[in-house]
Amino acid sequence: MGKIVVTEFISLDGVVEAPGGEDFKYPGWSFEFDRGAEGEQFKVDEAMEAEALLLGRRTYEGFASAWPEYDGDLADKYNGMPKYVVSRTLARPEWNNTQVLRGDLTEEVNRLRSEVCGDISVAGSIRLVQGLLERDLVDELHLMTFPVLLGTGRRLFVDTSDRSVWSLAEATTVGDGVLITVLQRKR
Amino acid sequence: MRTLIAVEFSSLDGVMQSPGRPDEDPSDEFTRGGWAANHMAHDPEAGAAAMAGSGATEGMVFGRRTYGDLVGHWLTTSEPNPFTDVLRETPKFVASRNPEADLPYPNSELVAGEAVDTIAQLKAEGDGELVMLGSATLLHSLQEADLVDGYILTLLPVTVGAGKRLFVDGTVAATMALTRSVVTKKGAIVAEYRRA
Repeated sequence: MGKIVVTEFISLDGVVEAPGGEDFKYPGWSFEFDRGAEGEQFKVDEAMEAEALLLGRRTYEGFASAWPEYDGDLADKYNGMPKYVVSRTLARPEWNNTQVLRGDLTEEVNRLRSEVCGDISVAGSIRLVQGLLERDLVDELHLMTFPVLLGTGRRLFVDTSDRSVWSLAEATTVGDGVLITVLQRKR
Repeated sequence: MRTLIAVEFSSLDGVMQSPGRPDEDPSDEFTRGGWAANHMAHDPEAGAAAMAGSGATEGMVFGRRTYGDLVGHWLTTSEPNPFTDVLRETPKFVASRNPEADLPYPNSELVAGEAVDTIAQLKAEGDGELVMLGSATLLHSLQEADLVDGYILTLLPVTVGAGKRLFVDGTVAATMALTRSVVTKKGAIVAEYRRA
């Protein structure tokens, strides 16, 4: 049984827009903080443990234009593992091992969960994650909270039709006051 | 110059409204109040961590609604708790636009006018630390005026899905330092941030 693992860089005020660049008032804001060797290792372990990636179209396109240019274990992992993109418009995905999901989100994700054995990692992909949270399809959340208030930008959590209860599986402080939390959905 | 620290609950999705009881703050048709109550009842470690250092508090700052509700609740309850004495004894500054606002509890002082001006003046008048609790509307105007110097946040592992958020658009951008963090056995995080 696959597990949907959402992983995000998030500001103290809940903003997840453009932590690593792109067009935004504060592009790359997460890079201003050292996340220490432990923080780097957390991201590497998380990627190496993933069985597949589930991405929104914009995040997919960003990854697809970057990862094929790199070499090394991490790049091999990203370039090799199965990628699933949620998009109604993407016609010909060019990144190796990609499938486009066009159907109902709940059905597609439940099918993935039954077919993939292990972590299905969702990074960035703000709109997709909001859809997954609304449908209660997220099994685990990895948040790297940076000690900064941005005051503007897209937030991860928006209003949802129900509440949810999670358990805190891990909480560590790394580098410049960066808080890593792992939360598991209690069902 | 006094520093102003906001001591607040936050859900995973950043909601701060009405954590303790459903009738605490039902404004804007909020029906999910009391979302922190069950967790906090079983996690005394979180309450203690959030209160640590409160001995240094020179005064508390409230909006009118939180003053009436929170102070009122703890000063009239008969159940034993760690809040009643602190809330009675600590000087309380209540921000209101109404110069006639009635403040029924002891050690309360009205700061009448636009909060952004009156709280800035209150901060300039002395030294030490002021703490604010709850008071979403007041907090948002102070965040927008860059008058909040730090936060002690009790972060609980639930999403609420609606209600007033701790941080809204318009908060002045700032780099913070994580000065303290306590992870409780029951899965809350008490995190203290100060302006870097």
